Amino acid sequence: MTALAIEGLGLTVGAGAVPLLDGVGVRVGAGETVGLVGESGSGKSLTARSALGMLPRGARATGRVTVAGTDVLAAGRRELRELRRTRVSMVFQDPRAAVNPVRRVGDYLTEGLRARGVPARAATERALDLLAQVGLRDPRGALRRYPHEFSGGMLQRVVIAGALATEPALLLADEPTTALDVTTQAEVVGLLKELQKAHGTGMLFVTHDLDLAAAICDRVYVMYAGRIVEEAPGAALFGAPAHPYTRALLEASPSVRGERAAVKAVRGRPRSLAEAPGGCAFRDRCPLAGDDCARAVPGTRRHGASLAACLRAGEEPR
Amino acid sequence: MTLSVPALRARSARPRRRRPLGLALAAAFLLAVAVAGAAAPLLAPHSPDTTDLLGSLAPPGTAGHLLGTDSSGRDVLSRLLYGARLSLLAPLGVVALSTLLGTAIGLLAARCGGWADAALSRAMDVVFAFPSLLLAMLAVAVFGPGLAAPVCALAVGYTPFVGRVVRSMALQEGARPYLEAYRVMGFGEPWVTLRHLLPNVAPVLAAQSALSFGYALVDLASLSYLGLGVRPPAADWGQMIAEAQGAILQGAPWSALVPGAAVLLTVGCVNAVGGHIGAAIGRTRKEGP
Amino acid sequence: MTGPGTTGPEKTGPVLSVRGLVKRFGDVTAVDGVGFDLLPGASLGLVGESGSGKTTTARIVAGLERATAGTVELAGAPAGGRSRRDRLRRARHLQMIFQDPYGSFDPRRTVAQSIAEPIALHAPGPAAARHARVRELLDQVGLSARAGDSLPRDLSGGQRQRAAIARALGVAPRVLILDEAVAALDVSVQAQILTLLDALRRDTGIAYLFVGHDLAVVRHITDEVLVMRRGRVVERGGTERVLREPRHPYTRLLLDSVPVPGWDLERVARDRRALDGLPDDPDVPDSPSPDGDPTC
Repeated sequence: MTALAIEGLGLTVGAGAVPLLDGVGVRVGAGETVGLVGESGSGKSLTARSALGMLPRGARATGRVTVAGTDVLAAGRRELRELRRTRVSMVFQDPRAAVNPVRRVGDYLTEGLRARGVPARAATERALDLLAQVGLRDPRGALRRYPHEFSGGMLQRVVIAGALATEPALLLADEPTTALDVTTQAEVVGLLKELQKAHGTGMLFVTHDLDLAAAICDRVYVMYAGRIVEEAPGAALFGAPAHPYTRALLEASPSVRGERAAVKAVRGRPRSLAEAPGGCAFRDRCPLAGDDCARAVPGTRRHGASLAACLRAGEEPR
Repeated sequence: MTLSVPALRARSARPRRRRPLGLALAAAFLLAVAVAGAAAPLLAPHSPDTTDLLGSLAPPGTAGHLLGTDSSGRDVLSRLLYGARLSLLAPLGVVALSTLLGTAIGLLAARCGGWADAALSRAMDVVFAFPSLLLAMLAVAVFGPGLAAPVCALAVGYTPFVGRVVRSMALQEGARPYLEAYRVMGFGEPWVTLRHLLPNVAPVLAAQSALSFGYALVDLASLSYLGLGVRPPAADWGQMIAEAQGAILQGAPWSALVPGAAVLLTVGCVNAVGGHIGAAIGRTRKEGP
Repeated sequence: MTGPGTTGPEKTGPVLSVRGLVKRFGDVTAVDGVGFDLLPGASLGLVGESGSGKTTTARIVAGLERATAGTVELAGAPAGGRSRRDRLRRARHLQMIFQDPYGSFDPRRTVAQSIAEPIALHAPGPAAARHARVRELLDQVGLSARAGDSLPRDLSGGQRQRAAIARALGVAPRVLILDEAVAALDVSVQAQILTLLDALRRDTGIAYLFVGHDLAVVRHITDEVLVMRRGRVVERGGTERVLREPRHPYTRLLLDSVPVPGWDLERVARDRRALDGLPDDPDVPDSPSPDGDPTC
């Protein structure tokens, strides 16, 4: 079964119909880890939030968003609430912002279960089980403690426990490790992967870190200016990036291993869809761009293991 | 992650385009009161102190007395116009003094921290706990009637309000790295505080001042009403209300209602304008990266 | 403008010298005996996670915190003083770039005004000369005059960080502290700033003290690195050597935590266990480059 299917999602906001997303397609299968990578303004978070039916105020959406069989864009309020309560969970960047600081961790974890009619004792048992699963040493003690008594990494584990409490079909992880230290990031990512495998949950992993996405995801979507520009298996992304933007991102990031190579800066700054030029949105920063790139938004074509929205996918510059 | 920039602009631009009519009216009214007070000698049809016992308690609309006369036969309109001077100037004095004091104390407390902060904050708490009106009455009892003593006393009483706002704003603003950047550039603490921190706190200070102005006007009017403020025959609105008490019983409420309405409208307008300034600041400050 | 101290005998010695730095906040020891030398034109990295003391160390060097013990010397003279003279001298030798480029500008001033301020303080002169200098600095960091006349909020993150660099260069310092200076930027923009920093060091011989957690960036911009953990330096040496053959288990853990294709999370867990099994104080002697790595 497909955990998440986004097809041709377009989003505009405000009276001027400012475009935010255009023709975005993302698919997450059951038990699959899918990366959604992009810089600021790329629309990656908007895309992830659309799976919860959380659109910016005054936004108009076109296309289809289906989560575990439910049509999210057509769903009513009650249906959306039900969906969020049972089938989709989200882990945010900052665990401190995601947890009510004056409630005990036990309340945070059992709240959702109680709302579904699980009796108090059973909910507590389930919370204990979850805390043990995310690797907290003293689950019983943790239930009685407050969020500020945990480190960022430990609190993010609590949030993950909460997200998995309802056995969701889809887990949205929006930069879940960006606010954490590197070594903590490794732990939390390891935990996410492990739990996801155990529960068969589909995970959409949103991040700005191409290396991280490529390292842990089965497939990766690269976004630029509100559109998907490349879709590739995680491992292939490094070996043979097809889209010039993906290539530029890789060449712009310094690396810890291998030969020490100079970073290659991309000119300009990342654009949002509204600011981007017509035709291919990347063409004003692209070393391969030609006149034909301005004509229309390039369609998706296969190149190696990738699907890239580029007329010159895979070509070397010059 | 955030929304894209144009999306945010599109959203934040909308409320600004709508200009609130009430706000414009309030500002216009305040301006009119200020002009009326300043130009009282030109505008007033009579001298504010000329008594005419035969023509006392004339109702509004009487020829020559647009708003009627009080129990001493003084023209209410003229007294209202002249009264505007003290009624506006005295609270202005309170606001100016308390803002000066409060800003100094708030900035000192926020920037020095440690025991200085603790001492100043406790001192402010003590004054805060003391009703400022009582403070003003005490001052009159000690220094005798007249405006100077109550204005100073109220200013002291209002200082903690300003001081607390400035302190918390300065702490909040002080957490931003640009103040540290200036220190690393070699600028001294006083320079950084006065030249960079204060201007960034000033808009909130302006909003707070507008609100204190309203309170000060009411407090001073209350003092005058109690006979502790302006010395007769000079008049402010509070005293006019006080003097009109007898007239109400004689079935001539207008000599009390007119200055009462003036107090009410002015305070209302000042609060409206002050509130708007505060809200406008909230909007501009949110525009960040 | 020429940098202060470009003449005189101290030119060959370290431009920044830190010895036995200790900082306690109440019962917590944030920095515990950190020491290093920074030679002119060199680039030294302070690497560690939150709570490692790297930022506190940098802030003490910048004069933003007072050390509990230890000394900081700039170009051979003590730099810990609080007097106006000490402050000005420190500022002429050393400037700092912060992580948040928006927050490091007074939001009410145009970028050009902000850049002009330290110049007016340290090299008072006619306004025309100052304007010319500001234009020169903007040009040096790749900003247009129009960007200079903008308020910080109207610039992009990369432009703001360029402006912050221009402002710091205004007093021609010999040391630039870069406190996570590229961490808040998009990857494609981060590369631009890294390239700019490379060029500046090459052209002006300025020295960098780079504080960061991103090992890849640290590798790119530094020649030498101190790895810090819980206030102490656990490993130091040439950056390439430390990243290729880490000697301390903590450095190994840091390295293995960096995501790469075929990332081995098992190995990270193993590193962590190795570290947990270690007695808590695996200290490294407090002298620069004990393993004989060339400094630059």
